[in-house]
Amino acid sequence: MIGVNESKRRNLHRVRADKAAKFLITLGGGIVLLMLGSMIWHLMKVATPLASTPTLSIEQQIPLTTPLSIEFIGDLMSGGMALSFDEHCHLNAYQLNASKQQLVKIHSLPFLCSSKVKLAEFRGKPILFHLSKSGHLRIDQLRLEKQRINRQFMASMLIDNFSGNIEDWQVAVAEDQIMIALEHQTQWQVLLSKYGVVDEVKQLSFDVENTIVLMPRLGRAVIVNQDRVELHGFNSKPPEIFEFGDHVAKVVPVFQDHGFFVSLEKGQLVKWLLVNKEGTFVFHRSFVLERIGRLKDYWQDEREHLGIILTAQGTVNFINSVSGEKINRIELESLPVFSQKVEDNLYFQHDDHIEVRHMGNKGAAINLSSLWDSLLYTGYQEPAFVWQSASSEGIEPKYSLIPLVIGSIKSAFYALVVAVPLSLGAAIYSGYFLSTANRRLIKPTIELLEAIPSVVIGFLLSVWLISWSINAIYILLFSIVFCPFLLVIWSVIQHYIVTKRKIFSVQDKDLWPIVGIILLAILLGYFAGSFAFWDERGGELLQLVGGEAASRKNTLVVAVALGIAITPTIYTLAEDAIYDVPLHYQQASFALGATQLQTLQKVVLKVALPGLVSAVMLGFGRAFGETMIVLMVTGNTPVSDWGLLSGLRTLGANLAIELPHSEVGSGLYRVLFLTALLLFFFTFVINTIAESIRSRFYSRYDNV
Amino acid sequence: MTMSSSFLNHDFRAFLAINISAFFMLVVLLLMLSLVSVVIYLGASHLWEKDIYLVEFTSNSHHKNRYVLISNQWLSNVEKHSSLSISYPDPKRSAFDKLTIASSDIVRVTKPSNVASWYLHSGQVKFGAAGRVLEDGNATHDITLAEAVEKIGLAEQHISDKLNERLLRLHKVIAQLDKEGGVSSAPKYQRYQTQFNDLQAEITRLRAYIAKFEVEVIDATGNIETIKLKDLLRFSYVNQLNVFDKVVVVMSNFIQLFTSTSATNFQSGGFFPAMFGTLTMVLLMTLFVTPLGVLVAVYLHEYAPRSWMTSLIRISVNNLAGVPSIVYGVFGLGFFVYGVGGQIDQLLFADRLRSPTFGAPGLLWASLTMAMLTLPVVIVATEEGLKRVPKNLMVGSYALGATKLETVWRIALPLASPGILTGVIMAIARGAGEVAPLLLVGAVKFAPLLPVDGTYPYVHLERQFMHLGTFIFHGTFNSLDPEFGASMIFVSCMLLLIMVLCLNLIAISVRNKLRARYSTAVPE
Repeated sequence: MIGVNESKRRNLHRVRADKAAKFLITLGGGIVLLMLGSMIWHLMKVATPLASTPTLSIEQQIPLTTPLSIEFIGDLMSGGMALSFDEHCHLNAYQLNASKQQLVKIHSLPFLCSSKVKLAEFRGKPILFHLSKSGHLRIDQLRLEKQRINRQFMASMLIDNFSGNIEDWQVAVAEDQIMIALEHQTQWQVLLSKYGVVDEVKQLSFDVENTIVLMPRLGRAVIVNQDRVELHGFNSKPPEIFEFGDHVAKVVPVFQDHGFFVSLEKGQLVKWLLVNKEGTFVFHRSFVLERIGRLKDYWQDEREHLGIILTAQGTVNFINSVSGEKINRIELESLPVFSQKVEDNLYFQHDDHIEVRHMGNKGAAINLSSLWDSLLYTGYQEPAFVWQSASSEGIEPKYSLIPLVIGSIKSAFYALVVAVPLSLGAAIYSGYFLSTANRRLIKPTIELLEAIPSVVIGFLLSVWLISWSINAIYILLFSIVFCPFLLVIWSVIQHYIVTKRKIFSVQDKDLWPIVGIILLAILLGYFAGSFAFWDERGGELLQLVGGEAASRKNTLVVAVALGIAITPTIYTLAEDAIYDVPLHYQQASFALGATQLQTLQKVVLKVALPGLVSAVMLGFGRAFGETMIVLMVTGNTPVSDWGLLSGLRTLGANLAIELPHSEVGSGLYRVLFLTALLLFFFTFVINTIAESIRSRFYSRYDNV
Repeated sequence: MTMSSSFLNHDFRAFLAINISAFFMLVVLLLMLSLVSVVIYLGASHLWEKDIYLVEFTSNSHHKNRYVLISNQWLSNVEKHSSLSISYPDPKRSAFDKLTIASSDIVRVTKPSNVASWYLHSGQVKFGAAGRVLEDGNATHDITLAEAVEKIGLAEQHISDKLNERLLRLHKVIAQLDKEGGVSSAPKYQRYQTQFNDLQAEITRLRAYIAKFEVEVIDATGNIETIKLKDLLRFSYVNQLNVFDKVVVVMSNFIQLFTSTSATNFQSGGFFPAMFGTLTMVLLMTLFVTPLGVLVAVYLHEYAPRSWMTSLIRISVNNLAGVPSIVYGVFGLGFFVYGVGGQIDQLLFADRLRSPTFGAPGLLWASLTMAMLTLPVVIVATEEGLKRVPKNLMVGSYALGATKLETVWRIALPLASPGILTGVIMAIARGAGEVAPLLLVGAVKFAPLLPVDGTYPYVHLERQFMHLGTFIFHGTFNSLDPEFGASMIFVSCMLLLIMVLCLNLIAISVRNKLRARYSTAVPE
């Protein structure tokens, strides 16, 4: 009795275990789907914000109890200061209190009431200009140290013949020079001074009727005269004049004076950009924005393609700063009195409060035209496809994917040119002609080539590049030239022997003469090379063929290296396709009197064709995604050029180079994930098509 | 007549077709063999000690002598070459300089037997004859060079093995006493303190003793340079060695490279950390990928119903195998490192860490990424193994009343184990050779610490590590001197290649055995 119970319990236990195992294993099977799914999901999750728009969310509202005329706002949200002048000749510094609700005065700095003071902003830091009655100008950088304003001396100078009697003045700061414009009774006086060189003060004078805008980095004064904009330099050259059909409302220099915006009365906005015209830099019209409204302020994010326009109607417009496309617009409640961009925050001062708005998803300014269009970039001659992720002041990053896609396709295509004849030729011989015993030996040996780590192939090729002399290339070229001749000659001899003996069958021992032919070709190549062109210095071929411009690490080398790497991939699949052609097809062909060659041409290759095509496609997919070889063998220069002797950079290599240095969540990071997604889908499509062709090929004769 | 001539024509074309396809096959075959042999040759020639020649030549009408390496090509055919390119150790850097001398300027090339190559710990090499042994700056005749070197070796060993260990123990004891609030005037405390001081003095004394010895190295022009023996790694009279001696030297060089830690300049040191890192990463990867791969394969072959879901899984497996490896790296960086790792950091160490621990590339994430990359390999191989399990054995098991789990566990899996093994070995080979994703998720150029060491918790999954493949990658851009194989990258290439090829050969032979066992022994 007990035994039966016992065994019942055991059986129950076994069944339960079986069911549990089934559940677990089914779950495990789903892991593959989960993996693929999470891969696509994650890549998409990072890349898709590019397709949406930047946001401008309200971060904080800071009430102002007394009206302030704020002249500078620093990074208030993380402990920076705001500065304002009051009527008692004090410069006051304010900070947010601990709860970030209230603006508190922390220090005030007195100055002489008879002097004029002005604040300028340079790289987010306040610069104080202090002009005394006697014409002495002192420039300080202001810092917050231990709750006090600290004046750090930058430069000082004496303005000659200063009457002490000016209506207004303007100041502007650049890296190594400053510009000031003084409004006298009848005219503007503009001065440019380099730091440290006190006596080098240059002057310009203009009619006081005109509005004036300073471009300190270029050393130009922009004069706005009705519908004309004039750029005056301090040299003797005539001013650059730009005519507009409309009244010019405002001119705003942007991007370290590498360009400027001209806002017209009727709401048009025109961007001018410094471009390279045969070696000299001139301003060129970049784009026109229609119906945007009158410009009040403009900021640009230097790492993304984000331009932020504040219009006089109180709307914030996000645009792509390179192509000029509008991305989205956000209405503010009212037009702010003062506004400033600090890092990712925009500070808008209204009469009774300061509104802090945070810009999110800045990378979304990178849109389709940034990625796929040819655009006019700063300092370029004409619109171009450029990838250059590094940005510096005044140089915007360039995210065109065209050079990378061209690089990937180019390298994969040329690799196929090398690999296809090699691998298909090899596949035909070992799949069709070779005896089974030798096939068992030769096929795995060739397949071992696939096991060689790509980093080793990349290393070998790049080492050879260093010592690659013209002699080696001559030997190779001559050998390649000799091979077809030798093969034809050998075929003629074989043919002659056979017609004498009347026997015709392919045997593996016939391979040895071919080995001999290869060695002979190399030997002949060596002799011919040394006889004809031996160069004692072992100079370089590249300079002879391609001149100085040719890149040493060029596409030709990539083609060879990648070709070697994908040859075994194509070979294995193609060989299987040929070998798996059912024997009875061949036997039927032979029975009908076809020769071996006819059977190969008309039967075997025809049946195996889908398999061969899918093999080549898979090889292309592998070459397209291969990273290490391209990374090591090329110079990784992203150029949009299909030439054999130029450099290239592929999508994969680009990822390996750029991703470790890119900031998480930045536009570059998202663009890189987008390229990874591209790579993924491209290989996915190629693999799926190739697999379906292949499975159709196998299912076709399964039914026969 | 026309019949026969066209027939002949066809025959000729047949020969041509055969010969051309045979030609391509042989080219691929030779390519494969020559690639392997070139890598092995280059690697071995780096370890091989080359003879040093004395070249006397005139340069700018000055007579110059120099100990140099010259290529065998030149030696085999002196008349033909109009110039001689020589290379010699740079006196300041750990690299070789090159010079080309016109044949007309060469006075004489000889092979002196008294010249030795001196390898310093810093990676520098010097060529020169041994001069006097100096002790405290004065020549000593009591002791030969070999004896001095041996003495110093013994002293250094004594320091590192015995004294340091005792010092450490004493230090711990004293620290313990301090912790317990021991009074520094207590006799026990003082006794330990004295012992500690004595030991330290002993070590200082020995160090000073070691530093006393120097050797003079006389270069070709007769200039004397003194080298402190403590800086000397090893020296050998290359020209006195015969082939067998050199083989021994090659072996010892190899072992030395294998066991010593790396230096940042790719010139000195060895690749133990890279080797160790590769193995640790691959081992971890195997732990992840084997159970998972087998599970999926068992599901696909035994459990999966014939449904669209199953074919979707199959398509996924196929596609995962085709996804470029760098995409896995991108995913690993974004998902594992910044996603999962960042979360772990926030949960466990929020605010306590200055720099990210798990939220930075490291060993764990690297091996997880590589496990994803190699999963299809294991699945496919295991499934092939399962396919070859004879149906009648399975059916027999069911007939005896075994459940599915028992049948799979007791019959299918043991019989498929060679297939699983093949898959795992091939995954290891792939994991050891694949570099692109590692550039993103954790392998670095130079890692000061090993991922496994003596400090708690002994295995540091979050640490960055070195990898043979990335070592080669970084080395390629750092130093290249192929002619004389001055870079150890060649050796690591050889090692990586041999490792991967051996793994593959083992996998192939296991697979072949598996095939042979079931294709003949068991009838369908």
